[in-house]
Amino acid sequence: MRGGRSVEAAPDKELLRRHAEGDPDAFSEIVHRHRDRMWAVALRTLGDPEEAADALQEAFLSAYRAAGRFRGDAAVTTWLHRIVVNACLDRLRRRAIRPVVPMGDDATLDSVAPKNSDPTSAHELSLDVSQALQRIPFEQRAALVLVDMMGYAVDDAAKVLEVPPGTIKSRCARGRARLAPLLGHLRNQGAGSAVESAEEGGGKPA
Amino acid sequence: MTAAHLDYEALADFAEGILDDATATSTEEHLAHCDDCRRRAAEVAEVSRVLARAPTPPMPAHLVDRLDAALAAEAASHVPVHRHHRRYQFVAAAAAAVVLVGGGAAAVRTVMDDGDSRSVTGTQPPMIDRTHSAVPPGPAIARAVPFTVVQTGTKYTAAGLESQVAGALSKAASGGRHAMSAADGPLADCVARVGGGKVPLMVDSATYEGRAATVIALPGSDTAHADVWIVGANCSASDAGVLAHRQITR
Repeated sequence: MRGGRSVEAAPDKELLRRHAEGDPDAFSEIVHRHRDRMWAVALRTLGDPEEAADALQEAFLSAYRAAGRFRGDAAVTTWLHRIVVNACLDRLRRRAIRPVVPMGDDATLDSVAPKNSDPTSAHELSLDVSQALQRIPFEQRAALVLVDMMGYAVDDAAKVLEVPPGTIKSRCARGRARLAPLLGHLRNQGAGSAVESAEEGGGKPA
Repeated sequence: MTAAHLDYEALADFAEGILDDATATSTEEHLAHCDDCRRRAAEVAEVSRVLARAPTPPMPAHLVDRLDAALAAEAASHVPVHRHHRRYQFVAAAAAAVVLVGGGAAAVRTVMDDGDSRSVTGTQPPMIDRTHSAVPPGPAIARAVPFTVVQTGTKYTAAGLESQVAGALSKAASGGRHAMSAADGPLADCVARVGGGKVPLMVDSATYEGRAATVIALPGSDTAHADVWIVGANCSASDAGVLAHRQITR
């Protein structure tokens, strides 16, 4: 082992520096440490596991290559989050040329939607969190993923997304306003499947 | 005091504290006496709680493998000069196709064992190989393809193939640890057949799903992918006996 302490003990910034200097173990440690969190961000932002995995892969490869250009004034996690969010945005832009949601999904949703006097409302209510998030603009979604789902402070989310904190607040508020009617069934049915699995999930990622 | 009801947006802005003072005050006054708007305000507040409770499924194992393989491949393609032999650097930088020759270890004269270098030429079939003690000699075809056989010690599995191949390539690319020897005989014929004349990046005498196997890496169409072949014990020039064939991301 070169460069003093083991990779397990080294802080993120040191790992990134060691990686840039050719330490073959440093970057895998970074990935090991942050993969789950970055996965959560990518999955929530994109809604689809395969796409999220692709975005995550692109993000980590970007980070791998760009490590030498990392500026030490930001936290490595902030930098990684930014790369992941940008990779997600890239995928969404590419996806925009193709159909956004497979046609099958809506039909499936309709068939399992709770019966309601208002068919439109029934459909809306059948959306789960992941699908509902896909209904709101990317910028609002990214802000809500970081603040409401990942639990980051507004200031930290602002650093990740490189906008003023006030912008994060406003995006979060607009996003919540749009989600409020979409998530009604999750709120009202205490034993609903989504809520149930949320509880089994053991809370949000750190 | 405002007579008009408040929409979700106004309520969300109010909750987030981003309304100007006058609007915030009138919102507050309206909420004090309007059940409908209070209910909607509660719905808005509940959004954050629902989002926070929503579970994130763990990253599926096959996607983790894919990620690891991609990073290993990236590492293999950027092998620092001072650490590795140039020839393997070239090898690692090219895209790869990998062939596993099941049970063919009898034909493999390798190799990369730590310590004792069994340079013996296949007089002993491997213990694992119960079905083929000898590889039938195929027609002698061109053996112009130069390759060496390594033993990275990888126990290849169908599930982990992608990351394992990338890892083995990276390990093979790190070179220097072991002596390597050129193989000949049925394995050479097999590699020539499967590789179609391409020079393999790696020929790894290993196991696949617990059975003796040999991995052969061939240049692929681009640097991002590898072409993984798994071939039966009797792989020869006349019959490759392919067990599996997979494109992997390096």
